[in-house]
Amino acid sequence: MKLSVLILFMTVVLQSMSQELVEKKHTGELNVGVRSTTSFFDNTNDGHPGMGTGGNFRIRLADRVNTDWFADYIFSMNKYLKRADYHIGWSVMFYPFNVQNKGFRPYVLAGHCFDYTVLTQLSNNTNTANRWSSAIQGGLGTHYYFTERLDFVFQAQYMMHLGTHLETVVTNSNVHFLKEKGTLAEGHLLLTVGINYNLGKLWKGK
Amino acid sequence: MERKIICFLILFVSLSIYSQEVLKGERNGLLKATASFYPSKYINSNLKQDYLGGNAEYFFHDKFSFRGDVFQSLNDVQNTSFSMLGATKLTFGFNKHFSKGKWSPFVGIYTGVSRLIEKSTLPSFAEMLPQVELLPVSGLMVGTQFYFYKYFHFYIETRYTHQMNPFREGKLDDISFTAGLGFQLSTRKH
Repeated sequence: MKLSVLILFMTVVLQSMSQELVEKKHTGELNVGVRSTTSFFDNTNDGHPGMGTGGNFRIRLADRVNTDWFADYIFSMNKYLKRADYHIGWSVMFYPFNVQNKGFRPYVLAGHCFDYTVLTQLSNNTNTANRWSSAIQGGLGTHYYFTERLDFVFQAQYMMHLGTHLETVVTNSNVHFLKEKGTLAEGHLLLTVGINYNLGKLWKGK
Repeated sequence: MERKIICFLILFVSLSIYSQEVLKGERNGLLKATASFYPSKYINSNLKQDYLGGNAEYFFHDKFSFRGDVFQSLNDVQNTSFSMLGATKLTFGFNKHFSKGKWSPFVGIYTGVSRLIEKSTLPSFAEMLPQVELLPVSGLMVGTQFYFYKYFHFYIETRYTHQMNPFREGKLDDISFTAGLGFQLSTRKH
């Protein structure tokens, strides 16, 4: 009986130790990548999707926790105006399931970003408005690993801008921009595809 | 001075030895560069624009590479609504290669930015000066490379680029094509 308990105890301990070894395998990894983002539901743009380009790097803090540092430039327009969004921010990614760098690896993410927006009337490029704001974002995504070092990413997140917001009023083809302060949250759905390459480890996991 | 020459010779001989492996299908560590002429056609109109382009590509794996491209338009184009007075594109992306021996067919995706100079030809916009706009681009490419010598290869490829028209509603998607001679150097011993 004692022997059985001892074996069981040893099995549990060894299993948790080996789990620990697996868990620390990817800690400290540094990834760099390029990405393209499509933005939906911009309320100043009559629902026209915006298209963006950007880059990011990732620093893996733990096997199940990654951080994503990104910069995006997103452009959209309708028949009256064009809109440029500049995003720079970061997200924390958590991997609830698989911890290995192979196949599909889904994650949830949440983060913060700073946003600069410029609206310009198409027929009169001197009629323009801009604002700085802060935003929070959250969503879901997945990696698909082509190799242990190269992964494709698809993610969907909702970004909510906090603070000053821009309203557009069109009367007889004239565009008026209204800048309103307050806590009204406006947001957009961002769909991102990207490719990242693992450059190596910044530090070794213990 | 002598030491520099000796170092250069050692480096050259080493790279020459590494480069032989390319002909056997090994691509990891290969650094290549090309420059070429890229005729392109806008999909949503009959306009054609010619670019001078160049790229650098690095294989970090036998089947995968990172690639950066730059393009500069060579001609102005004009239709009933706008004149395109200049276009410059800078893109970055990854290619997946299906290498076999000297052949390396590939597909790739890329993203980047495009700087356009455009002037409206519509009467209602007649007073507007030419405008410069920076806008995002993304696209796909497909092609093949043929490594016939340790330092040189032939290639043929086509690119589909998606971008909006920043001056009026619509798209400026285009398809471009090129072929030519490229230079490569292997930076890793296999």
